[in-house]
Amino acid sequence: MSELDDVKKLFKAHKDDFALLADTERNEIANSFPLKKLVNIALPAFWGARVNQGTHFAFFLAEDELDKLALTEATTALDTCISESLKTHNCIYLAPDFSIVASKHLNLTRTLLESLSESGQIAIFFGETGIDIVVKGKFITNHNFFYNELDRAKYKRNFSMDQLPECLKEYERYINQPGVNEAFFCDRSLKKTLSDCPKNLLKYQAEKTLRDNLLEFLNLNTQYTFLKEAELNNQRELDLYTEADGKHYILEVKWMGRSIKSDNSGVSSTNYTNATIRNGVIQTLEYIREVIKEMNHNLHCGLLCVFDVRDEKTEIDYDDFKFLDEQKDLKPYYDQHFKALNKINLDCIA
Amino acid sequence: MNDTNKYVVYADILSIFRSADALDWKSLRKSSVHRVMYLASVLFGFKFPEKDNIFSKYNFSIEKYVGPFSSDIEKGVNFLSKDEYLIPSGEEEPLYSLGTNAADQIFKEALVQARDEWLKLIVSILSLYGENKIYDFIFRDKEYQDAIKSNKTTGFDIGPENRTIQFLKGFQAAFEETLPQHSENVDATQYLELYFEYVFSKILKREN
Repeated sequence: MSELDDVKKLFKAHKDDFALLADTERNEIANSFPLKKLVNIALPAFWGARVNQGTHFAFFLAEDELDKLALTEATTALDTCISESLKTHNCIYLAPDFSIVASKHLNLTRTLLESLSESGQIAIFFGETGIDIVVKGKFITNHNFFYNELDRAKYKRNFSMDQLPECLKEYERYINQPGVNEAFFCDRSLKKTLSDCPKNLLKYQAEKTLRDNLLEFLNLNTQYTFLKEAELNNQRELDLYTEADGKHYILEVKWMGRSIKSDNSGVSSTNYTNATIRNGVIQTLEYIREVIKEMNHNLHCGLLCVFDVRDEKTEIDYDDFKFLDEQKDLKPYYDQHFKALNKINLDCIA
Repeated sequence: MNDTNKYVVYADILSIFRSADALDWKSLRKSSVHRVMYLASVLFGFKFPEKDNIFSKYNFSIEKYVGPFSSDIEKGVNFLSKDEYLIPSGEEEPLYSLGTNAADQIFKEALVQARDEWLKLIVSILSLYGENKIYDFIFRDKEYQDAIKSNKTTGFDIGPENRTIQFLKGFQAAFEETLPQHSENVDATQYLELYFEYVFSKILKREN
């Protein structure tokens, strides 16, 4: 099914909401830039941070003053006087500068909100599942046609860059589960045919499989878009890279352990060990240098991510990074832009 | 780049900053300027199919690491910062804001109304989602994705049949087919807004 078929489904699913587009007067108010920006940016953060989202309340703004909304004042007001007033009242009438014009406590119902919004006041209702706007007696429940507050809240719960270590812990649990774990390893019947076969025998092209699996997990579980295989000026390729809050990150993926030969005829003679990872450090630093020095781009951090797929696991021996003593030109990049992430342990569970 | 073109670039850049400033978006990263201009270029033919693309002078190169990149914009931002039309702050990825020299009259002769209005529209749509999301919009842009996947060396197609516009036309056709009773009230600008909301929903759902 093509993406456009999915789009048609979405249009069908939101059929009633799109009626708003035909309702010019309401549409102009609901889609007015200041209101949309308020509802898109300032209010979700406020609503998302509420401890008790089961407590309902509403703000009211005058329709004819929307153009005067001082959006920069919104966040401060929400954090101070408005929050304070919500302790005693659930209906707050706001001036365009977000000062409180009046506040009261009412038994908020759908009908009451519809009725209150008929006298030139837009009602912004905060319910359990998100924020609704009521304009001229009508709820515009899915003002953002394709997403809702739950999607937004879920996105917010995804890992931030500061939480990358926790994210990788979660990932470690994920890849050691049945149904996922098998994707990495040769099956038991094949292993039986091989001599000196380790328990953890990865499939051919292990690095690619591990990297692509990690990429998919990061894209689903962090707040960022990770991409792969960016070519540097020297023709070498970054494994993974992303931009988080304006900062650039690269992520080099390495692994320790054994894999099978390309024709499945035996265990590959290459044993990826601590030395491989130390080379991985140098490789990452060379990439960092290439990006910063040769390509003249910004880079916040180059991360090294190691899968430990050895049968017998021990801490990675970086030899106190003494090997960098011979790589003086890389040292500044190590000091300022490099981080080795905690290794990800992976074992065949079959 | 000749002098006339140079001034058009400066005017475009300042137009982006002025539009953003008017929306309380007081500062932008240099990478965002490249990206806003790329989106303005690649989407232009959807709203104005009969016109030549007035942003065709920006030869965006395909830089996977940073997204679309135009050396004219890079030089333009540097020039404008040097002469304090823009003020950078911060070190790693500086944020630029309008400087004291950037009065409305600056480079006015190079500023064509159509360019200014189109940039204003793109900036106003993007401002609804915040600067950090521009990266996510770029990497979900069809023309960008296509160029990356096919390892294009010729740069991006910003003509009226580029991949982004093809998708937008399909998006519009899907709307017209599914909701014919509403489609006559929806113009190209609203389709663009809907398209950005649709892509934003994919960002929130972590889909590509």
